[in-house]
Parts: sequence; C-alpha cells; structure tokens
Amino acid sequence: MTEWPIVSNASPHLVYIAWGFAPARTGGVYRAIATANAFAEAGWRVTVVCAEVEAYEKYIGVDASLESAVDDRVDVVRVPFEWATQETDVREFSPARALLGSRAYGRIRSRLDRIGFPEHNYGQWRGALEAALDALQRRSPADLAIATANPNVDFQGAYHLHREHGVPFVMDYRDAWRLDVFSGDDLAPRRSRIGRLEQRYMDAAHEVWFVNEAIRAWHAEEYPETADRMQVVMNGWDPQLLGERRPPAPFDDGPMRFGYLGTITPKVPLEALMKGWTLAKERGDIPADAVLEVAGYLGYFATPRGDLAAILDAATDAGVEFIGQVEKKQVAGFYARQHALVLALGEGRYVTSGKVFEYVASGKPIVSVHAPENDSSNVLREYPLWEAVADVTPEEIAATLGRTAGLVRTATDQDREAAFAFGESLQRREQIAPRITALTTEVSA
Amino acid sequence: MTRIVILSALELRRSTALQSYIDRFREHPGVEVDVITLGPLSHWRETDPEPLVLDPRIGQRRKGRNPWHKAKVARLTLRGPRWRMARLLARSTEAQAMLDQADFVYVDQSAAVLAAWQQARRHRAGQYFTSVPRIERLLTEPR
Repeated sequence: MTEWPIVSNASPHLVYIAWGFAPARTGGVYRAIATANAFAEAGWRVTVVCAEVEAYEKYIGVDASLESAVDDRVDVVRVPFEWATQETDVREFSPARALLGSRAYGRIRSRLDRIGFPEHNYGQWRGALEAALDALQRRSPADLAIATANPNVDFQGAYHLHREHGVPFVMDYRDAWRLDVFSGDDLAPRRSRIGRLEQRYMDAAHEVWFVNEAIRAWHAEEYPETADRMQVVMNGWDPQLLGERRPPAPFDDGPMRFGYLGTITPKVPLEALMKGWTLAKERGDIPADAVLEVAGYLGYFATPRGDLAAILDAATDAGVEFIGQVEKKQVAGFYARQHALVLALGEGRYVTSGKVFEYVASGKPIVSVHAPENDSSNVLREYPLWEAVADVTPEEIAATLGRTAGLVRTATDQDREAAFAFGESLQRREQIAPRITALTTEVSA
Repeated sequence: MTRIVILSALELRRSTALQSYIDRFREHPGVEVDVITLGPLSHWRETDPEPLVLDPRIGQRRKGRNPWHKAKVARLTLRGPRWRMARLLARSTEAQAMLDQADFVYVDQSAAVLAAWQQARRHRAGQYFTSVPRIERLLTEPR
C-alpha cells in the first residue's frame, strides 16, 4: 500500500483537465481515471474537467462500466463539446453543411475550428473550456492543475489557469504534439504556431510528464531549458479495473487460445497478423484448433472502420474470432480465458501501449507483433514469458506464434510465478506515487 | 415492425454496397428495408427490395445517341446531383409516402444529404442518420 504524505490543513485542490474521461472509451482514459483516483486517495480534492457524456456517445463511444471505476470523492465538471463534422444525425446538421455538402463543409469547418487553437476538431473547445475553468476557479480556487493530452487543447486550459489565476500546472503527455510517435517525424516545425505555443507552455509548466523515456528525451532535446522539470510517468495496470489477480494455470490441453485486446487502428499491423496467423495454421506452427480472439473497437471513432472489419472477416476460417468491444468489467474474464496474449502495435520507438501493462499483469505468455524498437519492448525485456517478432512479416509472425505455442505448453510453474511477480511492479500506482508525493509536499509547503 | 429507408444518390452502379447495408439491417428482427435511389442500379438480388428510382430515364439517356441528352447527363451527374436529388425527392409522392412511414432513414451518400436534410425538416417522424452503426445501435436499444 502506498504511503502518502500527510496533507496539512485544508486539502489542496487539483483541477484535472482531460477531454476524455469516464465513460469515454478513448485512449488514455484509464490513465486519467487512475491519476484522478490516486490524487483523491492521497487526500486531494479533485475536480475533473472533461467533455459531456453525450459527446462521447455520439462521436467516440462509451464504456458505461468505467464510471464505477472513478473514486466517489472525485468531482466531475462536464463542458459542452460539439464535433460538427462527426455528427451523423441529419436533423442536427447546420444549413451550411446541408447546402455546401459534407466535404466542403468539413474543410471550412476544420479551418474555423483551428482559429482559436491550432488543433483539428478539438481546437474549438478552447472557449468553453476556459469559461468553465474560470467559473470553477471562482467557486473553488485550484492549487494545482494537471492537463493530459492529447487533445492538446487540454494544455491550453491549464495554461489559462496559470496565466489568469497563477495556478501551477503539470503537462501530462500521453502522446506528443510536434512529434509523430509512429514515424519519428516532426509534425510541426519549431517556429510554427504549435511550436511557439508548446514553447510557451513548457516555459510556464511546473512539471512535464511523459509516458516513456524516448519521448522525454526528444522533448528534452527540443526544449533544453525545461529538461530538468521533465519526468517519466509510465503507464501501468489498474487493480480496480482488472480485479483480483490470480497466477495463471498450466495449459489444460483444450483448444489453445490467443487473445488480442485493444483499439484496432490502421497503425496496428492487423493484416500482417492475420496473414501470419493463417500461415501458422497452414504450416502447423500452432495447433489446428487454436483460436485467436480479437476484441476492441475498430478505429478511433464510434463508427467502426469497414476496411479493418473486412480483414478480420477474411481470417474467420483460420480460427479468428472478433468479439467487438469488451467492457472494462469484462476485461478480467477476457484475459482469464486466454493461454497467450498477442501484443500487436504500430511501429515506432516512441510508442508505448497502455495495453502492455495489462498483458504483463496477466502473467501469461506474450507474443509481440510490432517492430523491435517499439518502446513496449523495453517494458517486456525482462518478462520471462515473452516472444517477439524480429520483423513484422507474415512468415516471422507465424514462426513466433509457433514459438509462443511451445511456450504455452512448456512453461513451468516457476516461469509462471516469475511472470506473475514481474507484473506486480508495473502497477500504475507505483509509477505515479513519487510524483504525487513530490507535488503534495510542494503544494503543502 | 421497424421500417428503414435507405436513401442513396447512386446511379448506374453496382448495388453491392447497398446490399451489405440491407443485410446488416435485416439481421435485426422485425426490420423492413426500402430503398430509394437516384438512378437505376445493377446486380440486384431476388431478395433485395424493389428500389424506388427517382430518375429511371438516366440510363436511357446515357445509352442514347442524342448529344444533348449526353451533355445533360454529364452535367447532371457531375455538377448537380445534390440539388437534383433534392428536387426529385420532393416531387415524388411515392418517396414522400415511404419517408412518412420510416422509423429510420439511412442517408447513404453525401450527395443525398441535402435532400435528406430538407425531408427531415418536412417530416417530423423518422430519424435521419448518415451512419449504419448508429442505426444498428438504436435498433438494439429498448424503445
């Protein structure tokens, strides 16, 4: 159990700005919930400022079971958000969209949205967010603000609190703004509007958090004057979301089950994985009755991507089952019925998946289907039941799946216990606790 | 029974895409699907509903040798399908009756949006969406 420093006098007030919060099924929502909960548990008054539930329902989808994962002590302020180009109800269309046509309207609207803040789709949230933060500040002044991005407009909210009300703030990067974490390319030049804004935020921030060392190092090089305030706060797995952990049982000779759980985006090498799986079946690398259970949303939005669904459909005969969304309360059951887990991720040494921590918590064999330089490899390097592809080709994937099937059969009790114990150190709380302790001490001083 | 109308601005194309939507909607119990298209489509299956074609003559005009017709078809298809779709839909009493009875209208193409938007303002009943999954979600929700 984490020991928190004693909070003196009245509890300090944290304003946590996250566009996507429970029950949104958006990337980073688990980190957001866990951070808010951890501060509440450490004695802070926590107010989360996020978008309305209706926006999640319409545009990105919801997981209702996430709401119960939020600590009762956490207050939530919902700020209206409209994403006009993602609206699918024709009655809600503006006359401009109907008359101009969706494509022309989308182009114009995108430009308009970026006038206030240079971010596609989310930039228009700035005005409503700042107004809500001002109202909140009048009601209950904040001692600290944390903004988690993306969307990066969240940072603007924290910066606004700092500039207008002198509130110190922390920038929590789950991704990067100017860096394409998949390709490593620059998304915006240093002297662009985005670059200048990021510089301003960095100069003013109390701390800047990153999910891995590779992203931190890139930013430290870009903004050397802020480097000493940059911290790595890795992701981790959440006990309240995974339930009680149990050491994995030995293989029971039934059909061998492989599982993939996560949002399936075009960055995930889905096609190569399906071809590799089919090839492994044809070559006998894996048992003929082996099953690959794929779960998660197809794409980032509420509307599933047809191209990804077609790839999964084509592999049905090879024993691939697509079950769609798994609510958080069903996640533990999903992991429990698998014999091995498939970690398929996009390329890029800056990419760390939050999913890798849940996989590790399961204590089951993991097969990595991503480029070896992906940052998830650093998390898994010491994991005793790990196999990884040398490159993301169907042949290599098939061979690695075969080795993983062998691992499922041959893993000893000691291997499973070691894997289970390894997972213990990667609880999210262990990652965030040092920062809460430091911030509590600084704010209370 | 739930009535769904697919409103499509397609013309002179294969109907494959529409068939996949028809199949998806029909997977839900008690759903009846009607189709309104701008022009005639090919490759209809026997099980598909007979589509209401707003401009059945476009095929004839395109096949004809009259250069005025050819020019008109080119003009209509390239420049103004949104307005033409809206105009034809407003004039068709049969289409109006179908939309009146519809619980959901799936608007298949961006070229059909203007027509759908005008009809949505005219018909108080029925919900008009540009997303198949959203309609499917509503079909599974208790009413």
